[in-house]
Amino acid sequence: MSAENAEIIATKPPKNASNKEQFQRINYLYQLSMHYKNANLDISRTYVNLLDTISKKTNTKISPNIKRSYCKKCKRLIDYKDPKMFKVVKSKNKKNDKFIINCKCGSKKTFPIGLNRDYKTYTEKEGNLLEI
Amino acid sequence: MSNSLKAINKKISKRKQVYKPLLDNPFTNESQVWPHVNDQQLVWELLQSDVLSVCKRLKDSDRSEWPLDVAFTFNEINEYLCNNDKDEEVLMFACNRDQGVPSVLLQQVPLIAYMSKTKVTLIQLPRNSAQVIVDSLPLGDDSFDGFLMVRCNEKINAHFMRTIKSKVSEQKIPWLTNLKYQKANIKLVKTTIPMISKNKNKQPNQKGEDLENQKQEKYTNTHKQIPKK
Repeated sequence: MSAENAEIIATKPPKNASNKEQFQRINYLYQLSMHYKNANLDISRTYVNLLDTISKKTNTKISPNIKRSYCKKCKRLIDYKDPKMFKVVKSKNKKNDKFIINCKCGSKKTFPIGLNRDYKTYTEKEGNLLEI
Repeated sequence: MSNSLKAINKKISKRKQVYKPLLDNPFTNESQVWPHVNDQQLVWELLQSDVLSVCKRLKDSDRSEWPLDVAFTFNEINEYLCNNDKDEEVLMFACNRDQGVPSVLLQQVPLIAYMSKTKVTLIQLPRNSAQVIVDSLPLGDDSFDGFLMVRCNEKINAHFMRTIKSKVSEQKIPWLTNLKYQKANIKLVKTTIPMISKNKNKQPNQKGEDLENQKQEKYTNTHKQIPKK
């Protein structure tokens, strides 16, 4: 056993997740917003706004994968058909390479991919996410 | 206090493992987003012999003179897939298992490919294939994004195209076409929290003591300044 592991008290994972109703609520709203994405943009944005508020008020965590799929400012879901949506900006110094997701509202999500090309979020790393 | 193993462990340990519930994306399914490739080694060898060898030979010449239509930067691929209205087919090779390919880009490309009007065959390449591709392409100082797109037109070998297509299963992303309700994908994040000792108030640490002293000094100073009536 390594020294790093020795300092952590291991516990058994719980069989059920607390706050399950809120998770189901957020999940339902996310899928509704996806459904109305092309048909009615305003409703879709309202649902995303609602799910975002619920997650904050009820202190329920959402995976970064979901959070990356909508704009933080206007709550619009990403449009994969728009060529202007995604852009990789390369510079002479490879460390300054950036991946930018441009929203129609004008806001930008910038990912500094050049800093660490192997970067993975904590939940994306193997062994950190467990099934219930 | 007992000298049990659990009690000793509690004394030594500084952190405790906890499991926090988290809502994962209900639509994310790796196996559906990245289609399965049968006989991956054969596909990789065919790519090397039919495409990469040609690219390597003509590395120094102008790309318009190449006998193949290839694209290898993310911007180029994205622009082609979103703007192309023609009924064309492309082969998209992705080094999704290699190191050095940003995961943010890997998450977007299958969805862009699926939503495109162009018929895209997404092909996963085996591990360590990115370096071979980098050596064959005229990237210059730019870094490789992890994708190689080959347009299936009259320039490309028909046998190569047919063989590769037969080895790859179809990409299925049901939530982008017929949306069906998916159950909440709740998962647990395995993480740790610091252990806080119960007798913190009785034995404050150095920093805490300093703060207390500062507060005391502030209090006495303010009381000194107030003139007595």
